[in-house]
Amino acid sequence: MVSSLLHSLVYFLQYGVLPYCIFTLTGYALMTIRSVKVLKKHKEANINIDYKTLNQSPFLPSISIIAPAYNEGVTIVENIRSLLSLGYNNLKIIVVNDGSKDDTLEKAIKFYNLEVAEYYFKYRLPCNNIRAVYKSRNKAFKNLIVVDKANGGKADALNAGLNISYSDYFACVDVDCLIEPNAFENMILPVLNNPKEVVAVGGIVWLNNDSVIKHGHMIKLQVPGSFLPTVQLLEYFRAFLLGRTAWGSINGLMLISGAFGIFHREYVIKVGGYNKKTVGEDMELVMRLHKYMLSNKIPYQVAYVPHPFCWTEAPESLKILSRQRNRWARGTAECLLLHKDMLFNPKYGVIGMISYPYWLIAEWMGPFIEGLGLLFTLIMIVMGMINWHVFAIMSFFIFSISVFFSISAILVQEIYIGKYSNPKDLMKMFLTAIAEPFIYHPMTVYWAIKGNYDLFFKKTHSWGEMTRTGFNKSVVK
Amino acid sequence: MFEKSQLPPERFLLDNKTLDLIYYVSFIVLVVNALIISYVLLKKLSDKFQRIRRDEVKENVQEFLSDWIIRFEGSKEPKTLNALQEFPICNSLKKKIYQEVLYEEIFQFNQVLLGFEKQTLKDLYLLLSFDRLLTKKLKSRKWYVLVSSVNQLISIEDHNTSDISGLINHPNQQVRLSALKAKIAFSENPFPFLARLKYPLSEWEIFEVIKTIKLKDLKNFDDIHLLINHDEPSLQVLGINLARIFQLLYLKIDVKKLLDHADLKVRRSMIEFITECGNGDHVVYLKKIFEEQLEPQQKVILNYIQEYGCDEDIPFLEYVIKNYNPALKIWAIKVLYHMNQNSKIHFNYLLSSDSKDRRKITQHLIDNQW
Repeated sequence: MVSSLLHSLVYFLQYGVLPYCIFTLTGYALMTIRSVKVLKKHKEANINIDYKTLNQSPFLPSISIIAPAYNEGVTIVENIRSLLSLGYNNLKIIVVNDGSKDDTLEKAIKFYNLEVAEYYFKYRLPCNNIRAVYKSRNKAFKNLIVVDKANGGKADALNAGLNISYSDYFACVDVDCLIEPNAFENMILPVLNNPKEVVAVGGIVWLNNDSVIKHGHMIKLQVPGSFLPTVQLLEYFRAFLLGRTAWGSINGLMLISGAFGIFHREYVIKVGGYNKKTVGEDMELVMRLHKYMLSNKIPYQVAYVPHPFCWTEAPESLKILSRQRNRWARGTAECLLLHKDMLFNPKYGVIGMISYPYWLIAEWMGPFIEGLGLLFTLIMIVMGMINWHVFAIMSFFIFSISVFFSISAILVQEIYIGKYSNPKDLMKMFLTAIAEPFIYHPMTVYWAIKGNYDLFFKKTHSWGEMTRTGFNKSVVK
Repeated sequence: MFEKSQLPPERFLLDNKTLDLIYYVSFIVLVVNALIISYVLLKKLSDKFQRIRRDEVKENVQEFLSDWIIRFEGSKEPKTLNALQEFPICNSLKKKIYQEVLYEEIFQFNQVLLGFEKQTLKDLYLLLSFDRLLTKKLKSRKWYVLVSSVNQLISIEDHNTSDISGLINHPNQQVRLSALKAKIAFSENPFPFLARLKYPLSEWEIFEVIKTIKLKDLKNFDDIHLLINHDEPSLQVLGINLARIFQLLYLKIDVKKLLDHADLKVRRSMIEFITECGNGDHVVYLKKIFEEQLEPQQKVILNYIQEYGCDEDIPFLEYVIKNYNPALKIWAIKVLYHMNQNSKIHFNYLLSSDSKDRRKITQHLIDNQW
């Protein structure tokens, strides 16, 4: 009886799972091919651009960096210093202290000689009470504004920063992120070069665990020492190099990382700013911008610059990583649900017909299908009904294909970005790519399923706390 | 258990044949993986050795270039191949790597040299027939080779090597821009051919063109009207910006026509032009059209009022402070503060006004002056 039931299940699953596998693998392959083309063009283009003189252009739009800070007391001084050292000519730095419970604000006040300033603004976007706006008495820090507000989460802090900002564009940056000195000159180029309205520009975010950082500058980049951050770096390679590069080239980018991206301030205000009710506020904003521009038939571009400009610290403990992945899964599900009207809606062009369906099938459904497969295999093993011959071949196939995409990402990185100079670093990445399917991938599947469970059954909407070790861990004084 | 032979073929998609195929595909993918790993690691090692070798060659070449320039300093002696043979590097120059590095280094040195030294270097470039190499590169099908070659052409000021006119309408934007810059650099009067461009210029291209024109000691701006009166808005923006930067006060421009132009950037450039190069004739008209402009244009109108406004314009500024968005309010209050003595008195009056909003906005300006 059970045997016949399982036979029927096999019969049923193969018609669902096989097309799914073919769909996702084709998707990955197409994205890889597209990305290689775009990266090649980008690398060639970059050889001849003089970013130093570009910075003198009178056409440079003004940019405000909005960096929300919550309990960043350990690193706030160093982080602000790093932001202040950026070379862009027309830049304001708005650090939003989101009701930190530690000494984040006090440290910033003391080190940067801040005082309360009368700062005129309107609550054009909803956000919790802004208690005070600080500016420095020291002219050297004239571009720094520190906002103190009641705690309301990242989206709320970004909205507060947007209320304070008067620049043409704003950049959302995690305060602990390390930004390359010439990042904004590079990121603004699509704006200067595009006859359409460029509503947002995304860039690559990579990991700096165990790299050598001095005075807020990257001195020596290296692959992290332990497995967990290294495998995450591999994921970032795949996502930012192969995935988003391809989506960006067809104006189909649905997500610009909350850690680093620039946005057209006025359009973001027009669409209502960041949504405080979702943990995927970065993705949700980009989707809303697409929707607004397409609904109003305004020619636009969500651009992507395939170059690493932002370095962040990856979680090194399973506990924090699981929280982060849980949040990402909830964020994805929330955004897809909030904008379900875009699915297969020709009005929304590439987003409605390609990006959204892909995210739904490959990104959101993926963990469920994989989880189901794993569970089913376990049941078959326990019941002694597994066909080891089929199992071995299919496992071998999945392993070699998944390693292939990781290794392709490493190859693409090496050819078009080439940030890691030590062959040992690459060897470490290759070994991690081989181990990933066995050790790490099942965990990410579990975290994603758990995230969805938490969203739909526990109604969890909070961020959870992230403990930072900060640049200090790898700083060479 | 499903044994290989027991698979029910009519119900199972993966029959033995398909499974064998999957197995072979997986095996091939695995081999490809191993090949990629080997390739990347070998490439890394080879790059490392090549870099070391290139650095050594670069050091020798740089030494040679310095010696070459010193050798002919203040001398009118012709630079011949015989003279070249005096240098120990001469034999090595037959090697490809030496030629490549020397070619690159000549352009690097050229950027920092001036006058006689620059000419000595150019003589070496011609002596080694690098101009022929550059001509060859200018026929490349790779667009990025074209861009770097055109840039090298500008850098070495080689007017005669090749005609780059064909590249001005190249489908690649960067090639077009480089060719445009070269054409400007080598031209006495760049405006007629700029007016013949068949494509709109982006803001970045406009900036690059302006930068190149600024580097030239251009005397004759008579033909700039070809740009200002062009049908293409981006060329008009270029023309107006050039007129502003070079302070061409004598130009006869139909200001009203350009202030009413359909293109926002043309309007903005024109307001900036009359702010810097005009007089106060247009205050009334600009106030009239203020309402229908977008924020960037409104800001430049306010700048114009700051420059040429009078007491009569204080109520208008008051109106902006009362009715517009925070960014414009701040801009208007700044104008009030800077315009004239009476407007400053009015600013001080607002500072103690009953309206909390106005007090805050005036205080904002005081607290955020730098």
